[in-house]
Amino acid sequence: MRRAFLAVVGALLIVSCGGDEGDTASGDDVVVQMFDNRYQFTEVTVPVGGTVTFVGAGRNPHNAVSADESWSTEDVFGSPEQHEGDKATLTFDQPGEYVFFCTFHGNAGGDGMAGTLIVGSTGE
Amino acid sequence: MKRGWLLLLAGTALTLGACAGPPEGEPSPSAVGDPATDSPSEWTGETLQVPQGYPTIQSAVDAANPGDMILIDRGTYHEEVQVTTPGVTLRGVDRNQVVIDGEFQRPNGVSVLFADGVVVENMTAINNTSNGFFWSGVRGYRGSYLTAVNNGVYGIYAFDSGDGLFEHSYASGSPDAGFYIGQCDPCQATITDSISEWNGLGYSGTNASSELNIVDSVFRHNVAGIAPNTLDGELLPPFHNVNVVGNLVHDNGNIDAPALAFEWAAQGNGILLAGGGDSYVARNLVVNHPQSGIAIFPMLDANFYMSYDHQVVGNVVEGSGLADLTLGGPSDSGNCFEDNEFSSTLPAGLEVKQPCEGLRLPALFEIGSTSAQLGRLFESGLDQQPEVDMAALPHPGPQPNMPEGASAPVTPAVNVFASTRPDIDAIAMPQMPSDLEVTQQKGINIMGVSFASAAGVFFGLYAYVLPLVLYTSWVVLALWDLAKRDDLTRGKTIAWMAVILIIPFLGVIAYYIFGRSTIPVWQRWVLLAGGMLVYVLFLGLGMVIGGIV
Repeated sequence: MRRAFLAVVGALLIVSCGGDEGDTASGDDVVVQMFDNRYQFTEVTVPVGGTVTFVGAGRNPHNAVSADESWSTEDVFGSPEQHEGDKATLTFDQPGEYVFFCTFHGNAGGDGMAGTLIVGSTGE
Repeated sequence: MKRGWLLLLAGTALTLGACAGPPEGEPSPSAVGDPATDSPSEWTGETLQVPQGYPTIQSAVDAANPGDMILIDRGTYHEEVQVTTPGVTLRGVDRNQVVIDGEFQRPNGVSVLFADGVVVENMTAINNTSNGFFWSGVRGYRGSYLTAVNNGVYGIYAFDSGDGLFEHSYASGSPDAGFYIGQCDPCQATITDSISEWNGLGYSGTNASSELNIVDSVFRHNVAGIAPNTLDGELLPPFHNVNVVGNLVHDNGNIDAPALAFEWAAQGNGILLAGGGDSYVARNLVVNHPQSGIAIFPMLDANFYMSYDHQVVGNVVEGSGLADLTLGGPSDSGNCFEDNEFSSTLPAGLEVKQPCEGLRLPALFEIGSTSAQLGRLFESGLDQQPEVDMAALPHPGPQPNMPEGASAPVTPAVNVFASTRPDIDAIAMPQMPSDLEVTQQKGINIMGVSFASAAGVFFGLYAYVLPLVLYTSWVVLALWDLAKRDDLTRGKTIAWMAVILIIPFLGVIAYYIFGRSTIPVWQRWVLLAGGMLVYVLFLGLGMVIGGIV
């Protein structure tokens, strides 16, 4: 009973404090929140066949577009504007390194809201 | 058993403010005061005319060289303009008749991305799904004689940018804020001689700090008036060193204006400092607010930010439903109030207990109004806040045109802040307009929890009054237990009484854990943990449904 009680309280306290994130994330399936006006992670690494889910988490709409135009969240979401809660999941089957950016708040040169996606070099 | 109690105590302390650690990441150089600019400092002498020479504004922008002017003739332009060339001046020939209409389909009227020194002046942007006028990642910007109406997030907006000026401008109908400056330190920016009305917030400045002046402007009929604030979604928290001086702030609390969740939580406050520090609020005239005229609150996002070292000096505050001056807690030290004209404060006697000079009692604040804001977030999370039809919001009448219009001097936005920096000490209190009357009546509140919102009362009572009731019952029972015990010497009894009465919360908890109370363990367990569980559950429920976590 005591442990259950502490677990409940502890969980609530943890929820109340949230958690901080660094600039990098890796894994088979990575979720990247798109805040105003930055990505939660600016360097993302997934294995070949891995997925990245971009989630709108700001007041302004955001998106993610590869600087080489090989992929974009619009391809799967159907709109360049992802508002809060909107999700776009992309699967990456080709190894490579991609600069990605938000067309509203960044550019292909990596200024502003931009990041790097690495497919295949780690996590396998 | 004792380890369990300590875990609970540690966790509670964590909840009450030990959460720390702002988001990592680096803003662009512009936001940290890099004086370098890519903009020419003078006009090239070239003017590209729309639509005479170029059919659209964007086609002229694409053809412009750094330092050129784009002169836009009267008309309604159904396009989104994105500027990436530094030092360009976009000028309308008539502020009221050069209109960029987003038709509620396009995100921004004009967005300036990573192009230093761009000036946008003498035009209107309406019905964009995101922002009317928007600068991001620039060094040097100026927006003059702009009108932004019914844009989906912000009216006039600068982000991650430094060295700027918004002047002689107007914004209405934006659910977040009419004017917004975010994520910059030092911002080196000024908003002056502008009007913001019918927005969620008249001004919002998330994590915007240092050499930032909100002065000589009017903020009225918004959901809340002026709100420098701290959030974890943007870099550089918390905000600090903002000057809010010489503004007329009245009749905010407008429930017919559009608002997002956090803006709804601020409803009814005139000037609200949320979770930052070292800011200066002086010589503002603040009238008719259902909640507080001027309030200092903490900010809870992924992290918890207490306010510190704010100075509220020489303001005139009248007609507040809750209190003219409020220090909401938990609050860090150093917030002070002096030489204001007011009739009520929360907690009472604020200027006596928290003066800017002389003896100041540490961390004196009240929590009722802070807790009540959780209710507002709860309302928003359940879609209980009023729905607003953006298309039905009022449009302003014609706004003053830029003097000299098309023939005014052309100057790229270089060294803007240094050349336009206001003398803060010379800014006077605005005059009371002849048609403005004090109409807001003082409302009823219980320990700072007002009756303006049912959810606000509910959460105010559970998140604030309940802990106090619990604490009172803990103390009474502990003293009763001590009084009837005969196993303690007189000295030990007196010592435990002193611990219980002198050390808030922790003293009585220590007695229940270490004092060998005669109250059965399970009863102590229910008394302490049961009440705290209810408290934490309601706090958690409010935060989850309110969208904080």
